[in-house]
Amino acid sequence: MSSTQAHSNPTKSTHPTLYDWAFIVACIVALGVVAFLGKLAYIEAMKTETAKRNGEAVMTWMQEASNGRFDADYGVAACAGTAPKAAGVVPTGDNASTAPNTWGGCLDAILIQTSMKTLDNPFRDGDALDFAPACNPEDRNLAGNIVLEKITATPPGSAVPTVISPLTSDVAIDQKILVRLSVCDKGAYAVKVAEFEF
Amino acid sequence: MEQPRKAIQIADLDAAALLGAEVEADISPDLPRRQWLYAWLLNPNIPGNHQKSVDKWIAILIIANLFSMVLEQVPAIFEPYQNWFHAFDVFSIVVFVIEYVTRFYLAPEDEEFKNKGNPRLSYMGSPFAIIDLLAILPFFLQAIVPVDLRALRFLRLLRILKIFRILLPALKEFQELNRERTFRQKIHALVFTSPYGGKLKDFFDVFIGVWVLISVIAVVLESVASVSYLINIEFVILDTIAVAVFTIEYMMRIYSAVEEPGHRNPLTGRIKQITNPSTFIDLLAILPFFLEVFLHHVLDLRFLRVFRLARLLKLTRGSDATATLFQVIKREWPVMSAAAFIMILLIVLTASLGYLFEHAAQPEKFENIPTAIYWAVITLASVGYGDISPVTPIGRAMTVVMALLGIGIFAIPAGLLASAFSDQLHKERDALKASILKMLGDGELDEKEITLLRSEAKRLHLTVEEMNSILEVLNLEMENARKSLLQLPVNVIAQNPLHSVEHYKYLLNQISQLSIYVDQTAFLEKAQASDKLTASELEIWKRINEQR
Repeated sequence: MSSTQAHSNPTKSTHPTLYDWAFIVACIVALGVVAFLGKLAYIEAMKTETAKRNGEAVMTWMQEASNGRFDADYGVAACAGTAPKAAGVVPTGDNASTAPNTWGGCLDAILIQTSMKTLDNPFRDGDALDFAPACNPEDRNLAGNIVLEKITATPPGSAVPTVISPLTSDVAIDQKILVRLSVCDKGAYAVKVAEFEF
Repeated sequence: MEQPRKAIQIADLDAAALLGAEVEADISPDLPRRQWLYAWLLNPNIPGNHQKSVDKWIAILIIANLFSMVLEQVPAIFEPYQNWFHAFDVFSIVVFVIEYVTRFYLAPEDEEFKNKGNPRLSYMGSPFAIIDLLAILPFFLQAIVPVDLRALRFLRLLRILKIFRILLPALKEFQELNRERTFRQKIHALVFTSPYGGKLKDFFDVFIGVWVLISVIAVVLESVASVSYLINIEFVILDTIAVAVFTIEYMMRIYSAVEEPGHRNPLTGRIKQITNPSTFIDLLAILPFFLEVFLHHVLDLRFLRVFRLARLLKLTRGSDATATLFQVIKREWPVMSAAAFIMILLIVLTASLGYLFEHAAQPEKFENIPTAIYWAVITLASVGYGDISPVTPIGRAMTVVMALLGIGIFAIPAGLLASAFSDQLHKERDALKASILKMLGDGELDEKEITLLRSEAKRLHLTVEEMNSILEVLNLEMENARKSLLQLPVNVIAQNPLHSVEHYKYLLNQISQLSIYVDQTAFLEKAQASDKLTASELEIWKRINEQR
């Protein structure tokens, strides 16, 4: 709508009236509210950033571990690529090799023995960092959790090049595995951090 | 005070000048070098020179510098492109230095300084020159003295002050236009289209437009996981600033709405404004931010982020093309709704038949009529994804008919819109012709009328050639009107002063022609001898002959 015929009545005073001042105050209040809400949004976004930094820390540790975990004297035995030998037991016959390490045992060891134990979940004050099989927007309690998924290559000619499945506790880690690391954001949606070999 | 009016006939109208098209600057190459350079680059009073372009590009460079400074704060962007940022900084400084030196050199030609004792010194002391110097000084300062990086970044912000070279004159003009007006009227002039907005209103619109674009680009980039991962916090800050800008604009619009015609009542006028579609879009642009912050604990409001893209609709406010589109749709609505009705009828009918013929053969694909409707729409619209296709002979035969019908039925609304658009443009051009004729009714075209003509021509996107052809047609029409005027009785002609003048000119022309062909001596002899003409009549005859 054109307003070329806007009112241009001669006025007695051109100084701001009480209503004008009220409008100015309302504008300042509105700016204050937007700034306050912006700060709240910023704080929430910072929590997601912290969750991402946690994910990056886990990724760094796992990448470093992936280089040495196949060595005989690897520090975190539960994450070693070869099965740990029980103390004092001499393997014989079919028991010459024990069962391979699994991700569940490795995860427990990571959270107790490594620097990961100092990491907190930014969305739950005081709670330690936790791992989840998947992010689920239906469950907001998963916010801040780390999600690790196993990437498996499919045979040539398949419709999709890889299949992604949750890295569950019982997954054997005796061989190198390709992992996708994500964190759950404030809405419990997955934010991909990286894909790497462990 | 009454504006000085100048008489302009259609033949005198210059289409290029009317449309504000580029005109060749009238600058003599024989001028002394400094004067010539000033005339081309900095003189604001010579139409067709490069002054406006210089100002425009400097303004763009200043804004680009502002963006560059903001982006430098984002390590994820700055670090990989550090060299590019530095190169841009050097380029900007070079341009700003050239600008400063040019203005310094040409100061003796500037009206503002030429009459001062030392024009160049006066220029250096002027506020704008100080701002210009402050914009470039930090760059050289860091080369001489070791300056803290943060202090240097702060000093670089001074470059933004250069924008005042453009803003201050606009502000001055705005104050001038709104001298005797209230605070609310000034707010109205800034946010609504009115004759009081001036250049500042244009800058305000550009400012809002830039924020619309920034926020829409941010929303689009947020959906790119790799980008969002790196600069999510920056997106949050950007959105907060955008919402602050749009909220203030929204409040200004609601507060000053009572200055709009038809919105006089403080309450109902504002409610009318709030319920206006364009103002509703403004609300839609800011609402997701507030809802998301307030309700994020209760609901997953991620979907609301997409509504931020509605900000793009804010740009349609000033678009005449959008207004024309809505006008066309409104006008053609009865026909379009009839076409839509036939389309729906055809879809439901063919979907039902498809279900009837195909359900038995492929129950998993033609599971029910809604699924068959999806298949019918995809087939009729010639999209043909192929995920659902008929297998029975009768089903296939029906699909052939459907596909052929679809081409025609789906093309109807498109054809209707296209022809209605063209029709609307013709109507508007005819309206323009009529308004030019009306304006020229008193034989004069004042500045106000020329401005109105210019804005109308701009609204209709007329080229110089199109405007010329309209003026030619009008010229011919007026010529014909002039001729047919002669057929009218004198008392009718006398009712219109312009027609009377035209008629008088015609009569004088007739006498003049008569004097060419007649034997002057015989004429005078006859007229004087038989007292056919009075002394005054004879005097007029002689005068006309002298003029000839």
